[in-house]
Amino acid sequence: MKNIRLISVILFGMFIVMLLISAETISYIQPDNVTGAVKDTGAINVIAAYYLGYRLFDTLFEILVFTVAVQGVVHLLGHMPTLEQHKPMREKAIIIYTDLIFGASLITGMYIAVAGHISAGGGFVGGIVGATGAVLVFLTMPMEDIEKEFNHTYMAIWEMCILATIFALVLLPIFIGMYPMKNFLPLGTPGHIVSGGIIPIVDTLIGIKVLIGAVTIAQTFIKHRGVF
Amino acid sequence: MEIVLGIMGIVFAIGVVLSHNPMRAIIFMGAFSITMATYYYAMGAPDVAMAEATLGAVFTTFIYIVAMKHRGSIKVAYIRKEPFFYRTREGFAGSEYHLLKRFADKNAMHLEITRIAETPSHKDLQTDRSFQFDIICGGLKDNLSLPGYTPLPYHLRGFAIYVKTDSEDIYESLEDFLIGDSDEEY
Repeated sequence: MKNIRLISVILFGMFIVMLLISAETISYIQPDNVTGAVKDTGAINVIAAYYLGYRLFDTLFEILVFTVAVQGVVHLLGHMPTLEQHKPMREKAIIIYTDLIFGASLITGMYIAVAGHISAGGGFVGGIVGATGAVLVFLTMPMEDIEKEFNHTYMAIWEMCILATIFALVLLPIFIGMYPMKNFLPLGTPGHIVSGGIIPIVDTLIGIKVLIGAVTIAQTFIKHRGVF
Repeated sequence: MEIVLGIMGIVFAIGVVLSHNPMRAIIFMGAFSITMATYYYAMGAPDVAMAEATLGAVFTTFIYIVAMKHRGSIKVAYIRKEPFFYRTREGFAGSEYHLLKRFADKNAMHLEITRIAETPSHKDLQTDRSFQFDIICGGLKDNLSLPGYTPLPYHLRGFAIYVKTDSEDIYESLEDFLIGDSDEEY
């Protein structure tokens, strides 16, 4: 754990230093109008153009805040003794219903996340929509099955990998001679699913990360406090 | 449309504040979130509306419902002994009661208290199936032998609270609680 702490300090320290030495990002860029925003970022949803384009810096720390919140829940509740009897709902109809809803919510959530740049939505909302189905499934499963299928350690590893990928993607422009957080991929035709450069990629990654985080929170709460 | 939604939002918000039952307050809050989501949508902000509907109405409600509930109950049997565990007109009192009460509150658990007449005999503990208590207390000396129960001494020398040997969770956390407590105060 000590190494991870050290790595994170070095990583974020490098990030801040690089931000400080590249004067371009300090001067906040703003579009002239809505058409200008679409032209700048290639995303026809101007909200996405803002939070993953002009204000990507803010969004990065929003992701970090969410990560810290998830860790806080896991840590604080982890000290409480686990509930001996978690009583899931075992009626067949409810199990089948929640399993069906699980797929629907997962796919809808991922759609909302992936298509965040061409319609309303985005990674944060998509992740929570995706997690809703998993939360419903938790109500019908015994705790051992939940821990087997949604292994907490694996999910934490995935979450951190995705966080690292997002930061790597944002820092990558430095190594090809551009300022950090520049949208370095081709912007494409606005309105198509493949457009907006890194915006849909970052959106999808945020979606998966928020999904994992929300599922972790729900699982921890159910494990330590029960449902009914 | 906007005016109606705004008034509904205010009504639900007042409902949250005025309801005495926490569960009712949570439901009112969910209703408030849905109203606000519709309001945002009507005002032309579908992104914010979606975030409000999913986070405010679904996820927060779920977390609150889970967080509100009591985790479970500890079954306590006590022998009436004046400074340790007794009942007054206002409710239970005594040093051991207050220790257990603070422990239960800290772990969001509920105390189910039963009075027993005297120290249970071996025969009671082995044969009587209804004798299912997590904790036996009430000024018991720490050298009694109660089969199935482990004595847990606390800051008062010579006395102990008897915890059921099967419920290791309670034993460990109660031990932590009592030792931490005596370090602080004595």
